[in-house]
Amino acid sequence: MKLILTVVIATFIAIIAQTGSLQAAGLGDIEIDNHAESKKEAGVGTVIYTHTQHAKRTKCATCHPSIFKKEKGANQINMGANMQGEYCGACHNGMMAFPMFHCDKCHTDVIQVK
Amino acid sequence: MRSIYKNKLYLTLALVIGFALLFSGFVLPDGVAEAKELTAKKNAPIMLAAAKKDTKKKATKRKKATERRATKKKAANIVDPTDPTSVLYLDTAGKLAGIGDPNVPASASVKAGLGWHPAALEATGLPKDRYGLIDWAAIVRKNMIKPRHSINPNDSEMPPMDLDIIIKAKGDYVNDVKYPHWIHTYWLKCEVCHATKGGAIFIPARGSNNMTMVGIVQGKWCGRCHGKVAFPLTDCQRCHTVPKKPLKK
Ligand code: HEC
Ligand code: HEC
Ligand code: HEC
Ligand code: HEC
Ligand code: HEC
Ligand code: HEC
Repeated sequence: MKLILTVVIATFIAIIAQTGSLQAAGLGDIEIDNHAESKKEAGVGTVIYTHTQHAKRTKCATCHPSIFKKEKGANQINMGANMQGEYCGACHNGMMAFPMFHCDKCHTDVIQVK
Repeated sequence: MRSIYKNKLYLTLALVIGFALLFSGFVLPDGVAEAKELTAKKNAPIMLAAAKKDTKKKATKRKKATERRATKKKAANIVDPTDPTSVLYLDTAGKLAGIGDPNVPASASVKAGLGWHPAALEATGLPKDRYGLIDWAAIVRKNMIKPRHSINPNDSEMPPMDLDIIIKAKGDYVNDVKYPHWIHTYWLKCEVCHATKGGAIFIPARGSNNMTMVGIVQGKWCGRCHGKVAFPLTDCQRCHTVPKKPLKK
C-alpha cells in the first residue's frame, strides 16, 4: 500500500516539476504572429502555440531543430507550408494529431460566418 | 490491530471486485468473442480430417492430444501478429467490423448487409486517396463504374460540363483552388448548387460568392458537401492545386 502511494505521489511530483521547469525556462505559450495581414484577410487571429501541452507527448528533439528553429519568430510558418506537411503540418495532418481544418484550435478570434 | 483488519478488508474487496469483473465477461468485448468463435469454426474441418487418419485404437488418446494442440493453436492464431487472418477490425462504435479474411463474413450486421468489411473492401481493389479513403473521383475517371442516370428510364441525361474555375485563396502562401465542374456535374444537377432550395449555394458568376475557408470549415459553400458526402476537408491539397504566381516585390 505505502509503496504504491509513494510511486503515485512521485509520478505526480515529476509531472508537475517538468511542466514547472518548462515554464521557468520561458517555454510556456508562444504567440506566433508573423503574418498578421494575411490572417486578417482570412478572418483568423493570432496563433497560440502551447509548448507545455506538446512537450507532454513529444520530445524536444522531435521538433528542434528538424521542424522548428529554436527561436521565437525565426520560422516562416504559413498555411501553404503547413498543408504540405511542413511545420505544424508535420503532425497536424489528421493522422498523428487533429487535422488542419480545425482552424479554431490553433488560431484565436476565428470569425463566425453567418 | 485495527490497521491489519483494514488491510485485509481492502484485500478481500479487491479480490471480490476482480472476480466479479472476470465472470461478468468485462474482459472480453463482444467482437473478440465472436471472432474466437469464427476461428474455431474455421479450424473445425482440419481437426476432423486429422482425426479420420488415426487408427481406432489410438483414436481416443490421439484425439485428446490433437484437441489440446488445437486449443493451443487456436490461442496462437488469435494473437499471432504475423498472421494476417488474425487481424481484427473494429468499427467506430467498437463493434467487430471484419477480420483479415475477406471470405469470412465478419459479424451479424455484415451478413445482413448493414456493416462494412475492411478486408473484403480491400479485395475489391478500388483506388484510395492518400488518407486511405475510397477515391470516387478516380473511380469515375477510370471508368470503373457506370451508375444509372435515373430510376425513370425515359429521363434524358445531360453530359457533364467541362468548366474549371480558379478560386483565389486569400493571402500570399496558400495555393489557389481549382473548382472542376466536370466531376460535380457527373454526379449532380446544376440546380443542386445554383438553384438550391433556401438560397443558391453558389451564384453562377465567377468571383461573386465571397467564400472564405473559415466559412467552408463551418459548413458553408464547398463545406455543404465536402466532409459530409464528398471527400473530407482534411485533404487540403486536393482542392488547393494551383500554385500562386511568384510574389511581386
Ligand atoms: C511540437 C513541437 C515542439 C516541441 C516538442 C518542442 N518545441 Fe520548442 N518550439 C516549438 C515552436 C513552434 C517554437 C516557436 C518557434 C517560432 O516562434 O518560430 C519553439 C520555440 C522554442 C524556443 C525559443 C523560445 C523563445 O522564446 O525564443 C526554445 C528555447 C525551445 N522551443 C525549447 C524547447 C525545449 C527545451 C523543448 C523540450 C522540452 C521543446 N522546445 C519542445 C516547437 C516545439
Ligand atoms: C511533433 C508533432 C507536432 C507538431 C510539429 C505540432 N503539434 Fe500540435 N499537437 C501534437 C499532438 C500529438 C497533439 C495532441 C493530439 C491532438 O490533440 O490531436 C497536439 C495538440 C495541439 C493542440 C491542442 C492541444 C493544446 O491545448 O495545446 C494545439 C492548439 C496545437 N497542437 C497546435 C500546434 C501548432 C500551432 C503547431 C505548429 C507551430 C503544432 N501544434 C505543431 C503534435 C504536434
Ligand atoms: C496546427 C495549427 C494550425 C491550424 C489547424 C491552422 N493554422 Fe493557420 N497558421 C498556423 C500558424 C502557426 C501560422 C503562422 C502564423 C503567423 O506567422 O502569423 C498560421 C498562419 C495562417 C495564415 C497566414 C499565413 C498564410 O498562410 O496566409 C492564414 C491566412 C491562416 N493561418 C489561416 C488558417 C485557416 C483558414 C485555417 C483552417 C482551415 C488554419 N489556418 C488552420 C497554424 C494553424
Ligand atoms: C457542386 C456545385 C456546382 C454544380 C453542381 C454546378 N456548379 Fe456551376 N459553379 C459552381 C461554383 C463553385 C462556381 C464558381 C462561383 C464563384 O466563382 O464564385 C460556378 C460557376 C458557374 C458559372 C459561372 C462561370 C463564370 O465564368 O462566371 C456558370 C455559368 C455555371 N457555374 C454553370 C453551371 C451549369 C450549367 C451547371 C450544370 C451543368 C453547374 N454550373 C453545376 C458550382 C457548381
Ligand atoms: C453539392 C455538393 C458539393 C459541393 C457544394 C462541392 N462539391 Fe466538390 N465534390 C462533390 C462530390 C460528390 C465529389 C465527387 C466525390 C468525391 O470525390 O468525394 C466532389 C469532388 C471534388 C473534387 C475532386 C476532383 C478530383 O478529380 O479528385 C474537388 C477538387 C472538389 N470537389 C472541389 C470542390 C470545391 C473547391 C468546392 C467549392 C467551391 C466544391 N467541391 C463544392 C460534391 C460537392
Ligand atoms: C473542398 C475544397 C477545399 C479543401 C479540401 C480545402 N480548402 Fe482551403 N479553400 C478552398 C476555397 C474554395 C478557398 C478560397 C476561398 C476564398 O474565396 O477566399 C480556400 C481558401 C483557403 C485559405 C485562404 C483563406 C481564405 O479564406 O481564402 C486557407 C488558409 C485555406 N484555404 C486553408 C486550407 C487548409 C489548411 C485545408 C486543409 C485542412 C484546406 N484549405 C482544404 C477550398 C478548400
